[in-house]
Amino acid sequence: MGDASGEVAITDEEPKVGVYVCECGINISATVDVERVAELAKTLPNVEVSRFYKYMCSDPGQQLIKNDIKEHNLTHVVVASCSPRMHEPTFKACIEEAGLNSYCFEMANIREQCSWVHKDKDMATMKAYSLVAAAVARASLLEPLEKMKISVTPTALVIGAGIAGIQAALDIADTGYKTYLVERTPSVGGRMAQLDKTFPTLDCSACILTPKMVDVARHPNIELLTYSEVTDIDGYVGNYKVKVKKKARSVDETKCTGCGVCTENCPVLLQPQIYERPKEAPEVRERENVDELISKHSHYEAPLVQILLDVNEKFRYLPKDVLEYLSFKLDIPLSVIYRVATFYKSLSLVPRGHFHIKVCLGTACHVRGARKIVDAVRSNIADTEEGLFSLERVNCLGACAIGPTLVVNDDYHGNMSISKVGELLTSLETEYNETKEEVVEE
Amino acid sequence: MTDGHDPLIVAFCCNWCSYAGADLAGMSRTQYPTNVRIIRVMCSGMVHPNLVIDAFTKGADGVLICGCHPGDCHYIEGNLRTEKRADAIELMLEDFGLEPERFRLEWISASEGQRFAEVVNEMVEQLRMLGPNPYQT
Repeated sequence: MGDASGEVAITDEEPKVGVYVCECGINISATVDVERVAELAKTLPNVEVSRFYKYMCSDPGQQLIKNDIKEHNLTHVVVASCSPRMHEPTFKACIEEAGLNSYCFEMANIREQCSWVHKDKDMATMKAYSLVAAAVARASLLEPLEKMKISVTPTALVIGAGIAGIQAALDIADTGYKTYLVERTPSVGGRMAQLDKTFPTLDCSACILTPKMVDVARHPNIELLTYSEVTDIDGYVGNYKVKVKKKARSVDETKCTGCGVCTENCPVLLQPQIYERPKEAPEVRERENVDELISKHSHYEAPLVQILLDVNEKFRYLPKDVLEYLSFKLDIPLSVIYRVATFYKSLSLVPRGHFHIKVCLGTACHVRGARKIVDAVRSNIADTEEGLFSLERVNCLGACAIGPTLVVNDDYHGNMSISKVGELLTSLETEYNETKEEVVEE
Repeated sequence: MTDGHDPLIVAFCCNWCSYAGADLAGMSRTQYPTNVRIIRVMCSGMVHPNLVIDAFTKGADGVLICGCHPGDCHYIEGNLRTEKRADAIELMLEDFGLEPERFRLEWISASEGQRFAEVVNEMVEQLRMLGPNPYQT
């Protein structure tokens, strides 16, 4: 550090701090006795010189600091004045001109955070003094730092070549920057390519989109990566490292003219899968039970929801084989069953725990700390037996008065706290283990 | 300051939002008691729970951490970390036998000078009722 253009080398010697208290006209001096602060600061450890002045940021004020740095060989400077958001750069430049490292500087904010917010002069003066003392203590520990310049890669990456991505890439590329445009599917265009008209003017969608698709492909600053996916992003602003996985296209892109002969000669034929109703009933778990559930509701015209609710209660979710069997038995397409199954919140396609916990995140519960309850439940159930607990976040349980609320299976628990969650879950776990043991004993 | 106890609050304010918010309180001449000492940190997320406990064991009556509102963090998710740390701090206070009201986490944006003053006022009042920090010698 010492060899950099005449800067003073910092040695292991005791720091010598200069303290400068600013009056800021009457802005500070009206409520803070600056003379007293400067006087008191002289008694602080490491303080070599302490002064006050009408306007520290003015040229004569800055000159005062520069002269002292030379005369007293100051190593650190503390200015007590306005907010560092205002004049920190000014004073940093000032001490740098006098040969100090600009990071050996500390500011005590005695205007915005002292004189302007207080009226009692004695109290404000003492607070200003303690702020100065803190700044001196910190300044004594400051070490010279060096500014670093890091080069950036002037390149942009746009992920997704729908109309928004295409336009973004074109705009960036037009300003002269190299742009990578990554698209997951084999072609650019996205949703807009599937539309006929655009809302609300009912313009021809393709007439807007296709010229841009061509522009994007031909732009010298755009590198188009179709049929590719971003797999990893690393680095920081200005220097990102992105991994893009280019999927196999089995065509040499540089040679392809788009003649289409390869499609005619392609040996692979893909056809959409059409679901056929099986001729015989498929394999299913607990067939008698499921049959009973179905027959229970056969007097209804649309018994599906009822049946699904019962299935969900019995197995704690909707197993795939049961849904397939229902589809066969009720002669309802599987897609319709899935539509119903995914519509209702109380139906689940994945197994729920023996104890299914719903935590309410409605506004009333939220303001009483529902998020902490979610975190508490999550961390409490993390190490428990698989399938014992499951957690769901819901938007209102209709029990705002006793929030934060959670529901275990059908039991409501109100006024929850982090410790109560722990107690509740432990008691549930013990209860479960006891019943399990009883079963084993029988 | 009629009663004997005059609490001391250490406030860690993030450089980007809350410190500027406290500056705004000054610029708008919003008055608050002299009991607070603001320490500027680059992000509220860098305030380690140990720093807070240090402040208490060295005699602060209250500690306030102020950061940007969630979603506004200059470092994207620094303040979310603060939130997690605040939970840890609350648990630590319990262990140290200190009242939870002695610690506060507040989101204060650069435009909420008034809010900063309110928080300080509330906290000073509350700490007066609680009395001095038992770690004070």
